[in-house]
Amino acid sequence: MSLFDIFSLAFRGIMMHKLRAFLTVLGIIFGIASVISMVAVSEGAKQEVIKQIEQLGVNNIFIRSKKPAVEVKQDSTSFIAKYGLRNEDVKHFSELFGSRLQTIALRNVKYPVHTLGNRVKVEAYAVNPPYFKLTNLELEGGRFFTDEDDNELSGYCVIGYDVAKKVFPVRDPLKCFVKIQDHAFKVIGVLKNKESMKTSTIQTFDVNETVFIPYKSWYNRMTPLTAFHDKGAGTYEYVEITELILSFDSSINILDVKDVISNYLEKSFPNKDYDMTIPYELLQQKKQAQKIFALVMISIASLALIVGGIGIMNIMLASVLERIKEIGTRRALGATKRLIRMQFLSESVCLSMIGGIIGIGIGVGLSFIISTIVQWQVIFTPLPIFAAFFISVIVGIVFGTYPAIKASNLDPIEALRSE
Amino acid sequence: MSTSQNTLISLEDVHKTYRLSWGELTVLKGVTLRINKGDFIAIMGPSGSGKSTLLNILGLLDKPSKGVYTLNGQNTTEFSDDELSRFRNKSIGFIFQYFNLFSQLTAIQNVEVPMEYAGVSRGDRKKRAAALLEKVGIGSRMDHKPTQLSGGEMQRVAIARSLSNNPSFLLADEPTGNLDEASGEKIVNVLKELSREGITIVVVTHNPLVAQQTHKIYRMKDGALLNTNVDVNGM
Repeated sequence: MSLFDIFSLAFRGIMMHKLRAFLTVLGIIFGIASVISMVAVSEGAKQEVIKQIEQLGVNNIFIRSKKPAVEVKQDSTSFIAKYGLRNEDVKHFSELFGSRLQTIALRNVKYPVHTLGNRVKVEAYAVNPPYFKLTNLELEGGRFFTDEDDNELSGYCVIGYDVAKKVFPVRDPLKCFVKIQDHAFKVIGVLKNKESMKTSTIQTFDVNETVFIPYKSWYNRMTPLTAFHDKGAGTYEYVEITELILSFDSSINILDVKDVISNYLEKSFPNKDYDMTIPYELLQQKKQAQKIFALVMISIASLALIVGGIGIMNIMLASVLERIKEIGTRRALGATKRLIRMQFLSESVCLSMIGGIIGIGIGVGLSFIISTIVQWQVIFTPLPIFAAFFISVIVGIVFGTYPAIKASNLDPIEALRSE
Repeated sequence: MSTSQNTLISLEDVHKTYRLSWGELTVLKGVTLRINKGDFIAIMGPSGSGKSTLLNILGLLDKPSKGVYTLNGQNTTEFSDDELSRFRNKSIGFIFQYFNLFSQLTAIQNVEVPMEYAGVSRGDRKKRAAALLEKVGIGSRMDHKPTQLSGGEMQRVAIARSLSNNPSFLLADEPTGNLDEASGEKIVNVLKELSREGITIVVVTHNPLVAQQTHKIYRMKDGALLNTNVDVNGM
């Protein structure tokens, strides 16, 4: 008896009870559909996160100054909170790694920003000019400020997309000035709209809402000493750098230099007034988390599939009982035990395979629906789809074997006698 | 009794004993029977006479506890389950009282089943099944499901099915037991026609009208075969 004959026989057997067969495979359908859609959605989410982290640069290390939780030992002569990274630290790193390291310092200016005589709710950041290139920022118009501009302590600034839209809706921003404290900065460049990375844990500010000024200009004009006037009381902060980006070239393994840097920081900053972020490590962590998520998902899906498989076994056992006479007749007509086994096994495999195929279809559809609802990309890889199909066949074999053996071991005489 | 070239079936002192909870029950007590090629015989007897057990043994569904069953010169006593299946498939054509057609299959598909098991190709199967249905007189209804056929028609399909692998003999168990008189008569006529063509047929029945149509009648009583080789015409 050919495989084709066996499967067409199985198919006819299933078609005898269409509704029953459909209800039986629902478990498999839901199990497979959930696997397919969960994998597609989580794959999409993973790619999103990886993209964000990779945008930060896997060869970069971010060190951020933070105000220590413990009360800073105050200078006996003043009330200045002095904390965070200093330019001497930058110098230290530069000497340590030489040309293989590019350092970029950022300083949150913290002073209010004015344009055309009005205060605007945007932030100002002092940055080293290579910042723009490193973070892949693009210009809508004008130009970036350069190292030369910085060295000349020029009063230039580059503004984010939203700043330009909000603050200069009618005027050409490139002809305007931004005023911070008492210092005027000429707008020389407007950035392109940058997709917001609010979901990222690393990006602390939105470049679209930021005014960038050259670091040296800021250092010389405004100095790291910032004065706040809060309800009449004045507080002072001395911070040279709010964020330092250490960008290594590809010859350096981030994991090798990581310890050198953190040892230095631990020694230099006993107050722990800094945070170190390593996108490469985050990437590894995300990948690890993804693996755990996948494992949890697989366990849930296997539960659904086991339940589906039990449903199939149940219906196959009922089917064997119902068809005892048929089995007896087939044995009399010359079917071997093996053929009877094959008949029932192929029937359960057929059932679970049909469930698997429908489940894959529903899973793919569901993923697209989810992706349009959450505005989230879904990614289909062939592997989970093949795996789902393969698993559904395995479920059919595993849960069909016992009923099939039961059918094949019936005594033909007894079976023929049954009604 | 010597075995001649012409002998198809030979039972030598066949016993069948069942072990039950309260002891042993001997159903066949030494049956010796020889059936020649081309014979058309009936086995009669009241219920409990061991008729069904003898039928099961002849049909290779059951094995004797003692004694030898030789079919086509081969001792079947030591056959494995698979060999028994193959012999049932190729050498024996079963006809049942309740027809035992597969309700999910059409008439022609029913006739094809034994050929599927024998590994006959799809095309040959269809051709032969159609020819057999034509031969038993229901060529026009071969695509009907059993539920769309009358009892007599169903039994014809069953006869066509029994012939599908050119068996050595047909084994009919009360072939008219579930039919009205007219349909039963037609079925008997089909069997007579097949016998005329040289096919060996064994009918197990308690209907004397059916038995009388055969060439020889054997009677079972208390697990033994009586009046062996009584010629119908001599009764």
